[in-house]
Amino acid sequence: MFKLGKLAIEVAKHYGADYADIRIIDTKNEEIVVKNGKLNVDYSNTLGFGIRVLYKGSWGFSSSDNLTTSEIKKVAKEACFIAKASSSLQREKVRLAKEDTYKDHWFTPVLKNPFRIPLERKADLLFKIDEILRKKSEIKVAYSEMSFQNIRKWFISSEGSEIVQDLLRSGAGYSATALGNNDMQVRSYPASFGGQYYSGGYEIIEQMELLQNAERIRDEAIALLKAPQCPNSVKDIIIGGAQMVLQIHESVGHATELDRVLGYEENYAGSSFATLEKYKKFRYGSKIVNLFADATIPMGLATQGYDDDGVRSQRWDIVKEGILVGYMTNRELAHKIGDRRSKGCNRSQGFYSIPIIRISNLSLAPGEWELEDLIRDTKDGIYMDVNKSWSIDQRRLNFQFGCEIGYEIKNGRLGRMLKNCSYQDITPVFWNKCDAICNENYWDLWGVINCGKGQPGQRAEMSHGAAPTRFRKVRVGIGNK
Amino acid sequence: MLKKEKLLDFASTIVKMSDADMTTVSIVGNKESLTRFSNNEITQNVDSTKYSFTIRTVYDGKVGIVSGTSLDTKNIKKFLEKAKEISKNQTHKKEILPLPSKTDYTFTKSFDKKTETLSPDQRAKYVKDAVKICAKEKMNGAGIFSNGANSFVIVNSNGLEAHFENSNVTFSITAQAKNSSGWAEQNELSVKNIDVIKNTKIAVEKAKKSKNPKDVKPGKYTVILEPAAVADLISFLSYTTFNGLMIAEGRSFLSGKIGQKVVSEMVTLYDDPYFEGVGGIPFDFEGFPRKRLTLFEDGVFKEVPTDRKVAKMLKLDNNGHSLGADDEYGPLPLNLYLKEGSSNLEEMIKTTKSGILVTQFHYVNMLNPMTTTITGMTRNGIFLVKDGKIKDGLKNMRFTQSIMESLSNVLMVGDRCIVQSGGFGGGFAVPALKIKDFTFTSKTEF
Repeated sequence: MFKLGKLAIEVAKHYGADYADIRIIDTKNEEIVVKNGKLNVDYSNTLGFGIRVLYKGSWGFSSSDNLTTSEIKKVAKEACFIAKASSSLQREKVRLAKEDTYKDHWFTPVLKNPFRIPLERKADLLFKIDEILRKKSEIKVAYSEMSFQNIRKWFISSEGSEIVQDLLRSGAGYSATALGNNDMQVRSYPASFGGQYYSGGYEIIEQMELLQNAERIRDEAIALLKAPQCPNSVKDIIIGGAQMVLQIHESVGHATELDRVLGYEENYAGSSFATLEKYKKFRYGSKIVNLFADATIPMGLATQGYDDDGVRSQRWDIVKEGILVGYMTNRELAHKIGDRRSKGCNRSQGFYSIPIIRISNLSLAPGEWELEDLIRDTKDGIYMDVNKSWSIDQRRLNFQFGCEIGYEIKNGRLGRMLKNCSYQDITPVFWNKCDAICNENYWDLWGVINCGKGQPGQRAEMSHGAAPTRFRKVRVGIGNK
Repeated sequence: MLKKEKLLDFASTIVKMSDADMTTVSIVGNKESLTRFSNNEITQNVDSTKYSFTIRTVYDGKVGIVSGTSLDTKNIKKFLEKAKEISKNQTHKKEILPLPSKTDYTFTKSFDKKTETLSPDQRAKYVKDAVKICAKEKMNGAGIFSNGANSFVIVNSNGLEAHFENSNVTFSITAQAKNSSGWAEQNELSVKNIDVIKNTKIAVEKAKKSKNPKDVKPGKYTVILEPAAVADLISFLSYTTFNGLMIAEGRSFLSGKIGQKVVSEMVTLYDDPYFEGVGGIPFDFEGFPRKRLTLFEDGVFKEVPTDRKVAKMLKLDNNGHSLGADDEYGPLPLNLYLKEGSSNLEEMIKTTKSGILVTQFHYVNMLNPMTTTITGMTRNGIFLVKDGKIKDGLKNMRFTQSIMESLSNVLMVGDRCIVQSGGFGGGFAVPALKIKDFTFTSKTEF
C-alpha cells in the first residue's frame, strides 16, 4: 500500500501540488439485527482511496474505489486540476500548521475480535433479548442489534508520514416500543438510536448487561403509556449520562468546531456563537463546568493514533472552570487562534470524503456528588434521561431536547414516572445554571455514531463522557398540555 | 458513470456465479462533484465516484446479505462465500417471498450527460458569479455548487433486470450580512435550468430586508411558509406518518384512518416519482414498479405505501414502495408532491393582516410521531408581515407544532411547485403554504 501511496504523491507533485496526501481505507462492517423475531445480517467490505492536494494554497480532492496504479495516477491528476480551479477564487492561501512526520502502526486495543465470534452466538443473545421484550402484548416492536466496524487505514503524505491504523469498534443495544392508551412510547438500552458503542472488541458487548436489563426496559416502556406527561413548567432538572451526551455534543462540541466558528459551514450545518473574540474570556458555564477533548482516551470512538491530517492524538481543555479556552482544530485553521499545532480533529467518513473538522471525544469532567445526595438536595425537579429528540439553532444557542423517561423529584425524593419529557434553553445560559455534577462512579463514555456534517454530507463517530448533572430552573415539557 | 450495459452485466455475472436458491444483486452508483465556498472564496472542492453492490442470497430459507465496492468480478467469489456462510450459520428460518420477475417500467427524462460531467472550472465560474454579487453588497457568500449522477441496478435469479439513472445539480447560497442573512437554493436534473445570479440576488435581498431584526413574542401566528420550509415539514411525513408498516402496526397518526378526512380539503398530496424534475426511481428496492399514489385527496387519506408484507397485513395490493426484501423499517413514499393551489406568494402576503413569513427551517426533529409534533428553528430570512406588507426582519424562533394540525389549518396554497432535496431517490415537489395558528414556542438571540 505504501508503494501505491508514494505513487499518488509523485503524480500529484508532477502536476504541481505543493502538498499531497493519500488515504487508502479498507472497512469491514457487520450488522446483526433481530426485529420481532426476525434476523437480518449485513456484512460489508469497502476499499478505496482519496487523494488530497494543495496547489498554490487551494485544496483539491478526488477519490476512487478502484485501487490500481492507473486509477491512482488518474485520480491524483484530477485532484490537482480541481485544486487549480479552487485557486481561481482564493482570498487567503491555506497554510498548514507544522507537524512532525511519523512512520507508525497504531491499533485499537482489543481482547476479542468480534468478527471471529460465531454468528450463532451473537444472534442468540439478540434472540434472547427479543423474547424477553415481546413477552408482554403491549410491546409491538422489539428491536435489538449489534454492530462491528474494523477500519484499516494507510496515510501517506508528501511530508514523509507513513501511518497505518487498525481501528475497531463494537456496539449493541435494543428498544421496546409499547402501544396502548392511545399512545406510543419507546424505551431503549443502554442508549437510544442504536445503543452503546466503544472502540474495542466483543468484550464490550459481554460487559453491557444486555439481558439483565431487558425486562426492566420492557416494563418501563409499558408503564410510560399510562404515566402522566412532564408538566409544561420551570423546574430544576437532573440529566442522566445517556442524555448529557447529546447536551455536550450539540451545545459544546459543534459550537467549538473552528471551521463552524469561522463560517465554513454557514450554508449547511451552521456557524457558532462561540466566536473568536470570546476565546479565553467567555463564561460558557458555571465554575464547576470543565469540558475536555481527548482523542487518546481508552474506548472512545474518536480515539486513534493520528487524525486524517497525520496529526498525533492529544488531550486539551475546551471549557475550564466555566471559561471557553479551546476549539476543535485542524492543520489548516489552527493558526486562526494563534496555535502553532493542530489539535488533530480532521477526520473523514471514508476514502471518498475530504477530511473536515469533527468533534473529538469531548467530556464533562466528573464532580463530587453522589446521585442519592443530589436527588435529596433537589426540592422541586425532574430527573430525565436517554435521548429521544434533539434540535438546536444554527449558532448552537437555542436548543430543545426530549428524553425517553423522567421521574418527578419532590422534596428530595424520586416520585412518579413522567413521559414526554423535554427541556429548552439557551446554551451559555443553561451551562451557567449547572450547579452539581455527580462523581466518577457515575461517569461513563457514551458513543455517538451518527454525527452528520459537511457537504457532501459526512458521518463521524465520537464519544462523550458524563455523569448525572443538575441544572437549576429550566423550562420543561414544551408543547405539553 | 458506468454505462447501463456494464452495470447489468456485472450484476448478471454475480447472479450466474451464485449457487443459492435465490440471488439478488443491486448496485448503487454515485458521482458527486462539489465546489464549496464560504467567506467569498472556494474552501473545498471534491470529486467522488463510487459504486456499492449488495448481494442477497437465500439458502434453505436463510438469508445472507453482503456488500462491497469494487466492481471487479475477481473479488466476487469471496463475497458469495461470505453470504453463504452467513446463511449457513443461522439457526432460524424466516418466511421468504418469491423473487419478482422481469417487468416493464415507466421512465421519465431524468438524466443529462452535460450535468454529470461539468468540470471544476465550470463550477468555479458559477461560484465566482455568485460571490461577485455578495462582495458588491459587502456580504459573505457561503454555499455549494454541486453536480453529479446516480445509477441503480437490480438483477435477480428470477430474470428481473432493472436500471435507472438520474443526474442532479444544486446551487445553494447563504448571503451573510452584519446582523442578518438570506438563503436560496435550486435543485435541478439539468444544469441548463440553474440560475445562479437569480438565486444569489434572492439571498442578498432577503439579507438586506431582514437587517436589524426585531423581536416578537413566541405564540400562535399565521405563517407563510416558502416551499423550502414546507418541504422541511412534510419530509417528516414521508418516513414516519406515511410509513406503511407504521400505519399497519398502529404506530402512525394515520393508522386506521383510510377514507377519513384528516387535513384541510385544500391539501392534495401524492407520492409521484414521475413528476417532472423530481427524478424519482420508477421501481422499488425489490424491483416492483412504483405506483403513483394519491395519499391525500381534498384532505381525505386515500392510499398507503405498501410492499408485499404491508399489503398482506392491510389486505391491499403491493404498490411498489419496498425498501428491500428484508427491510424491517417499512415502505415509504420517497417523492411527495403537494398539489399546487391558485395563490402566489405576493397574494399570500397581501392578504395577511398580521403574520410571519418563513424562508426555511433548521434542524427539525420529531417529538411525537403519533401526533406528528415536531420542533425546529427558522433560518436565513424570517419576516413580520403587517397589513399586507413585509414590515421587518425578525430574530429566529423555535416552533413546536403538529404537522397534521398545520395541514388542517391551511389557508392558501401556492401556485408553483419547487423541487426540494434532490438526490439518489429524487426529490419532493412542494408549493408555498399559508397556515393559521402556527405555534412558535421560544426565540433565540439572532
